[in-house]
Formats: sequence, C-alpha cells, structure tokens
Amino acid sequence: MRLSRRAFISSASAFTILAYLGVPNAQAHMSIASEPEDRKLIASVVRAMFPHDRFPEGPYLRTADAVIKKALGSPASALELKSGLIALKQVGFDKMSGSEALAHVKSMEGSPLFSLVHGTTVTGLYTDSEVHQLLGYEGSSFEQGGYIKRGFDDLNWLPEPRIEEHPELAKFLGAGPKSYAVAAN
Amino acid sequence: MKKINKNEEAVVVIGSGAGGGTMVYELTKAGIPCVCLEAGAFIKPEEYVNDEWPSFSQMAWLDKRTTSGNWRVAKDFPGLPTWLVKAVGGTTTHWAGATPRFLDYEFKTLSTYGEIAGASLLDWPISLTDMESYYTKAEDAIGSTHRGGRAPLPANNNYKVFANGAEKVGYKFYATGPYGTNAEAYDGRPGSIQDGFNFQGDKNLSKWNTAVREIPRALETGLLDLRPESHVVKITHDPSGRADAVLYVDKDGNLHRQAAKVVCLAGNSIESPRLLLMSDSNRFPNGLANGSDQVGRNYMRHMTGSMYARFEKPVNFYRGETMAGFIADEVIHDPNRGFAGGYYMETLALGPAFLAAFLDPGGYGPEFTAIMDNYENVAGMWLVGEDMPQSSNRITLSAETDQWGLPAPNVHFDDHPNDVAMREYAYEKAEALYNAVGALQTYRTPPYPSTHNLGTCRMSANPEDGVVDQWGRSHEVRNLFVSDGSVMTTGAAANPTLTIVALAIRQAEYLAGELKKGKV
Repeated sequence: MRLSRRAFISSASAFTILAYLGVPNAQAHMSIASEPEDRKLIASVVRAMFPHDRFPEGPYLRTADAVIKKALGSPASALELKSGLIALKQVGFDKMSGSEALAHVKSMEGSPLFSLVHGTTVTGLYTDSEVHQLLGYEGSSFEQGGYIKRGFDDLNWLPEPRIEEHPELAKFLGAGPKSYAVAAN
Repeated sequence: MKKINKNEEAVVVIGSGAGGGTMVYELTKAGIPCVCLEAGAFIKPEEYVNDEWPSFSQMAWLDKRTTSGNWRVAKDFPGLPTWLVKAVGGTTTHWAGATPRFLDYEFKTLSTYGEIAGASLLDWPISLTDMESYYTKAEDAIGSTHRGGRAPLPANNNYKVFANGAEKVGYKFYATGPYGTNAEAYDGRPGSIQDGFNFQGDKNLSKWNTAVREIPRALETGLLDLRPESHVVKITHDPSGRADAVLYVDKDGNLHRQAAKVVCLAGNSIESPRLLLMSDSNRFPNGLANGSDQVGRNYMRHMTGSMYARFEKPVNFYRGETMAGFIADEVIHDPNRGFAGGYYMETLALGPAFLAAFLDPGGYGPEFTAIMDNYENVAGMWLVGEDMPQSSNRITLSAETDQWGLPAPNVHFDDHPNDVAMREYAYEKAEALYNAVGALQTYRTPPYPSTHNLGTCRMSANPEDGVVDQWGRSHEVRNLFVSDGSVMTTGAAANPTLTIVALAIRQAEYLAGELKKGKV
C-alpha cells in the first residue's frame, strides 16, 4: 500500500499518528532510525527469521539500518514499521527464545513488517561483505586472475571424474524414441 | 562506423543478441549493409562487474512487465517474468554457455509424442538434417568445447560432486560440455581463467557473446550502422502490406524513423511479439503478421527447477565456470516416466546474494539458513527440459504502460501437467544423485525468472498454424523476418542459444540469396 502525502495527511486518524511520528518531517525520520532499541529490535526480527549462530550483531544491525532506510521511503511504510515495532514491544519479542521468536515471526507472515524485513534481508544480509567472509565466499575474482590458480578444482574428497563425453553419447542421442513413437500420419 | 541515411531503405535488424547479433555479422560479411537497432547500451567488457546485484542493475531488462497464470514466477517475481539483458549483445552477455543441439525427434514432437491434451504440439517444418551443417557453423562461431576438436574444460569443484553422483546412480552421459567458453585460446579470445561470473558478462572474453565477437566484426566490415539505446516501438507498412520503416525511441525519448526494405526482428520472445502487436494498423488490426492470431501464443520457457545440496566437506561451487557440467541420460522420450520429452541436468552455482534471493523465494527459518550457513559446502544443479507449448500461454499487451507510455507486455503462463510431472521426477533424480555422494540436506528450488524464452512467433508449414515459414520469414508480410527464439515451434530439452545462432546463420544465408536475386 502506498499513500500519497496528501491522502495520508487528509486522514484525521492518521493525523494523530503523523504527529507522533512527525512524518514527513525529516527530524522525526531520524528519531526512528536513531532509537537504538528500535534498531536492535529490528535486528532481532532479522535474526529470528534468518538465524546464523556464528554471525555477530554487526551484519544484523546493518540489515536493520537497511530496513529503516527502506521504511522511510514513504510515510505509509514508515507508519507500518513503527506500528509493527510497537506490536513487537507489546508481545515482549525481545525476551523470546529463538524458537518462540521464530514462531512469532511465522504468525506475522503476510504483515507489512514481515514483508519489509524479509524483502530487505534477502537482498541486504546476504550482500554484506562481512557475511561473505563468514560464509567463505571470495567474490570478485577477475582482478585476481580468476580462480584457476585459487582452488577452482581443489575438492579432494571425491575421485577425479571423467570430463570427456562418453563414447556412446552420439549413438544414445541419435537413437531416438523409436520404440515409443506413435506413427506419423 | 557506417552511417546509413534514415530515408534509405535499409536492411534493419532489431536486437543484437544471439539472433540479431548473428544476423548483422552474417549479412555484413556477405556484403549487405545493415542498420542494427538495439534497445540497450553498449556495455563494454571492462565495464562488466563481478558482483551479482550491481551487475544485475547494470544489464538486466527491467522495463515494465506484468505477469499472470499459475506459474510460481508470477507469485515470486510478479514484475520480473524474465531474466534477460538490455545491452548490445542481448542475453548472450548473461548466458551461462550450454550448447547442446536439439535431437532429431525434438523437431517432430507431434508425430513422436502424439496429441497431448492441452498442448499445441506441432512438428517443425525443418528437421535435424536441415540444421546439421548450421549447428556445426554455430558451434565453431561460439567455440563450443568438446566439438570441432576443441578441448573440454577441466572439472571444477561443483562438477566433481555432480559427475561422481552421476556415476554412482548409473548415469553414463556426463561431461564438462559442450560449453560456449574457451577451455584454451580460440578465435582470438583467451582460455577460461575460471573466474566464475558467467552470468555477469565475462571480463576475460573467454565466453562467447555477440558483443565480443559478431558485433565488433560486423563493425569492422564497415557495413554496420549500430545504434544502441534505440528502442523500436513500431513497424510500419506501405499500402501493399510490405514493411516499409521502423519507428524507434532514443534514450532521450525522441522518436525516429528508419526506412526499411527488410526488417529482421530479434527482440526475444517477449519483445518480438509485443512489437508486432503494437504494430497494428487498419490493414492488420490484430497486429502485424498476425492474420493467424498466433503472434504471442505458445510461449515456452522450459521446464526448470534447481537442486542445491549441502555436504559435510567443502565444495566452494562458486569457483569456476558456472554451468560446465552436463548429464544427458534423461534426454529421452519415455512416457513410462509419466511425461513426454526429456531434460538435462546441468551444474549451476550462485553467489550468496543470488542464492538467498532464489533458493526459496519467500522462504526463511533454520532449513533455509542451514544451506546459507554452509555455503562453502553447497553444490548445485539446474534442471532444464522441454515444456509443452500451450496456445493460451501467451504474450499480450497489458493495460499498464512502460517508461514511454506504451503498453507493457503481459506474460501469461500456466504450467502444463506434463511440465509439473517432469519437474517432480527431475527433482527426485537430482536428490538421488546428491544423496549418492553423501548429501546432508537437499533443497528443491523453484523456477527463476525465465532465461529461456521461446515460441510466440512460431515456425509452421501452414500459415494458419504459426507466424513464420521454415526460413523465419513471415507468412503474411514477406519482407519481415523473425530472427530469434520466438520462431521455435517447440522448445526441445536443450538450452536454446546454439539453435538460435544456427537458425540465424541459416536465415542470413537465405536472406542474402533472396536479396541478391531481388526476391525480397
């Protein structure tokens, strides 16, 4: 859902919330992004959704920043984020165990906050350079001469396989499905 | 570069990918001047980026498109039905490199499979015999490994898992090719350095791509007028019904007209029918060359799916050529399996960014992160097989508009029961393969936005069954040719690029002959 600023402001009930958020006042934008507990709460939702025990807080917090940045793109999405965070605080999300948090996230499926966090994480958390290091992904390689001398074939827990085609391949592909074919015409 | 006057009736090629790029090279080589209108910019290899999302933003076709139908792509990626490239070179910039040929019976599926409910199967008007010499020329142009005496690529880590699994489950027909990337220096371009970014354009130039071979060579002839960022929006015709010009929009939104004596349309299976539908007129109220009402219909995108598997030990599958691994054992027509047609299994690797986006769109939780967390230990493959043409799977003009205010294409696709049965079967076989070499977890990944886009202007012997004849020449507008994968009557199991190139070489030879005889 996207609301134009005019449609948003003309709604009386929205006006109260607008005053609370200060949207679209830039200073109030900062108040969402700069409240440390909000950032941590969003990071904990990301972690519940995409749990990696060995990831430190950094990548999750940076993903939370991306969520906040995306939410601030419009008054409507800022409102959705703020409303979602209020609801999470009311159920004590920050006190939940991993499995409770996952179950709660599951109950949020389809909600604007879920979509916002899920969509941002898939393209945010897994493009984080610290995450790439943690996962052992070496990324850009052309400037280093590719992987030809850097382990493209270093797997040694299986035998070396054949790379040429099987001598009977042409015969196999040319044989056709004669035994199954229906008569033409 | 040659300048062709806009009022001069020229041979106009729309698009510069596998079809259009090949056409302009073959025609200029034969001494025929061409104008090539390409919607995208000329992105040079030094500008390609070894980083998935930035590269995607750089070259993907992101113009407005809409979707409908029961395919999962419409749910997961409603605004991105395809994964194509908008640049000089078209989607050959992005293609991985698999170059299998179609098989003999795949040109005559109606005769071979018989009528299948809901499918609009039709035999091609040409056979493998007609295509063989052009396949050889296409393989030599592309530099396919394992063909023409060219060396195979070495086994990378992902292939080692794949090939060992194949051997364990009793498959015989596995190899690292045929593949359109040089294993050794060939045709003036170097051998692969296994840099692993096939989908992002190959900065090393080892991968064939019309932007690094056909287009530069056509420019060298001095007969090509290449106009990038020129998006064709209408083909017009004279009172006799012959195409006489194309109208195109430049990057600043200005409209231009180029007079034409011949139009070769190679905009991919979405844009080509869209352009014909947008080229309606009083004489052609259903769109140009659409008297049969077949333009846009029979859209095919191959049965696809992927299988990722997690192992105890490292694989590092992202290192090296992305798709240099094939298994052909399932490319048979055996209805005892519960479906018609066959499929290939091909190695596939994604970086963490794309793996997270495509592994299970909408997915999350511990099973999802178990794959991501063990990224180093993951192997992967793509399953690609023949899908059934269906008349109702089609490209139409949407009520929504693109950046020029023109109707966006809507891509409607429903999976045929044959596609669903083949996918399920293929998933089981892929799981068995990885389990045979010790997989700890396997993950069934649904189809990505389509990279293989076929049909929509299909080739037919009878004008009422299709859009073009055996040469790709419109049944109805005789100086209009379709030069891309749109012409495919049926899609076979094979990755389509080699066949698109072979068909374009064949069409260019025919067109050059007709032009010299004054018969176009």
